[in-house]
Amino acid sequence: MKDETRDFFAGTLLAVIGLFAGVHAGFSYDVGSPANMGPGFFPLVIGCTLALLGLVIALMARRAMLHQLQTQHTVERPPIYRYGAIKNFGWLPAVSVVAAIALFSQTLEALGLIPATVLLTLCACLAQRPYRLKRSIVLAIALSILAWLIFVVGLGMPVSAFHF
Amino acid sequence: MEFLVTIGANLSLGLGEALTVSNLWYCFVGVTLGCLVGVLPGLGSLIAISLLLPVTYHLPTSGALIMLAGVYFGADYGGGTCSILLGVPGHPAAAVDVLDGYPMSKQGRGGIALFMKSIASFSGSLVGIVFLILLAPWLAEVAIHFGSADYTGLMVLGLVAASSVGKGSPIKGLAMMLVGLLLATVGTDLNSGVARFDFGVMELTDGIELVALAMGVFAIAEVMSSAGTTRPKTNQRFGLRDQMPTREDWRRSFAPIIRGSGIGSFFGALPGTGGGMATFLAYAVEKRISKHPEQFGNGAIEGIAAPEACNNAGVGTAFIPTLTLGIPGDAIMALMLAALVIQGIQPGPEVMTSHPELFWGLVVSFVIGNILLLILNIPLIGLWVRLLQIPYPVLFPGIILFTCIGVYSTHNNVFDIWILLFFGVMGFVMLLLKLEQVPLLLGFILGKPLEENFRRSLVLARGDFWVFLERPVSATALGVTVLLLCFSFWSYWRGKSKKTAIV
Repeated sequence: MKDETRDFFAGTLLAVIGLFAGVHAGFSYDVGSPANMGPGFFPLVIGCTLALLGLVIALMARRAMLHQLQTQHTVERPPIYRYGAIKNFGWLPAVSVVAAIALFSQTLEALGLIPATVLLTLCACLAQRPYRLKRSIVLAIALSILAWLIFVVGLGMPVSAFHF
Repeated sequence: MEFLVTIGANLSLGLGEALTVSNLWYCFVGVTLGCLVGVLPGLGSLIAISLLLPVTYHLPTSGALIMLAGVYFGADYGGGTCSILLGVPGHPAAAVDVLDGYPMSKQGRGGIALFMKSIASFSGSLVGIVFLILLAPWLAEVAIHFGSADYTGLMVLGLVAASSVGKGSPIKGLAMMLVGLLLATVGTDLNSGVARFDFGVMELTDGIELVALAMGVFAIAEVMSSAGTTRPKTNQRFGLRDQMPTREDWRRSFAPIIRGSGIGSFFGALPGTGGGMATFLAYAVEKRISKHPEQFGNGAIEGIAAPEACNNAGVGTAFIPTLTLGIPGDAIMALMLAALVIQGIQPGPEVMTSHPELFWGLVVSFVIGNILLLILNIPLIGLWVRLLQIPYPVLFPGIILFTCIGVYSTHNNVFDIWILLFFGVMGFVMLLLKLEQVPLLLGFILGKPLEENFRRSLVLARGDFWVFLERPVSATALGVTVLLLCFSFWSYWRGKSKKTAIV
């Protein structure tokens, strides 16, 4: 298992997050003293610990990568381009799910629940393999009626079905 | 004797609370929805509970908890169905059912496996509930005397145990737990009124909405990674007659159910042992002591009975630390705790004395819920099996929709959908980088109380850090934490060096 490159990225990312949080907390908020802690104390401590752990993860992974390089003379491609923890990894499903949610958030109050639901469903359905247009349309209609019945009629959510 | 009388009085109080029409209804809705979500592949109890968390905003306190607990039990009952019939675990906790359940199903004994799963789950749940009834009042009485330093120690222990004991790398789990703690600091600091990490965004001064975080990291990330996949289907049908175990099956399952319940009850109460670890242990124990270990993996009914009993016994005992100390052992219990906080109840030992009807009503509703589940799962199993015929491409747009609307309904604010999207993408990146999501959620939920207790205990001790080692409870908790850290790193390195030795 070549987890090293993945761990290197993960460790670096965690270290950056920790460092950012620690520095931001230390400079922007009052740190105070242990007896009288300010709002910055806890995030500063946690951020620094996180930065340290991230650094350890990244360094350990780097050592393993170098070790591999010496013994095998090949480097794995970064994990972003490989399957990673996700089987059948593909960009299209992930992107269409994100787009569906973004679309929904933009249209829910502007257009109303039913158009937003139709758009969300049609966009999310782009992820399905194999793609079926008819099924997507039927599903979009069914889900929008269901959502309207449950949330607007049933639970009385303050959203209008159509908003023009 | 006096002890028994108290318990009897408490249970009758609980019975009065649980048997109201509305609470019975919430219990029924909870177990049915739990079963539904548990049967569908890819949706475990964790996703089920985070999907229903927004609904609890609009329910009375006991109704909300009864429903969520019903979902938890129901998802555990339903969880094994997919493993047994399709050979694909619907979610991690049910993975062990594949080992013997799928072979049984291939031998045409799938109905019997499903029946025994329900019976074992029911018996296990009852054992867990009995432990909960016996131990919780005692622990709550002890915990009344805990100070903030003790709580700090216990929370550190809970967080470290849940994030370092497990399948993945302990150091990455700990790091994710720290990220969770940092996310909890977003928003207005209660002591000083300073808004932290708000970056000028007005909505962030209220903090990050838990429902959006949980659904993003679990449900949306899961859908993002699996939306393009297809799942196997089944067209098996079951009636009551196909499910009747033989006398031999009953005889062979009895002792494993007892042993599984024992193992589950013990580990359920400890932090960090959820997520199927105890169930695999129960399976291993049965295999070790069986006279026919070669049958395991080829459809031994003990391989269903013990892990299922273990799984459900752990559900009951997991509530012990959650309801008495306010310290959850895993992410699901953390969500239960969050539901309490949403209802305006401060978790801790006072819950049992100030809201006895809530605690005992919950306990009694567990029993009622399990009886309902037995009814739902044995005569009506055919209905659940038919759910497995729904193709995943039809399912996932609905999951996305209900997640979005659920998040929106918490504050009727579109901003929360953006938070959901942010955490969905973050959860997806975490899946890619093999970073665990459970410690993140646990850190996020315990972050606020941890910071508060930490600050309070140091204020009381005038900044003297020794306070954590002077009090016996916090000193013990921190000592166990250090031992646990040493142990998990040691076993991780040992496992790793073994693996590299084979490669």
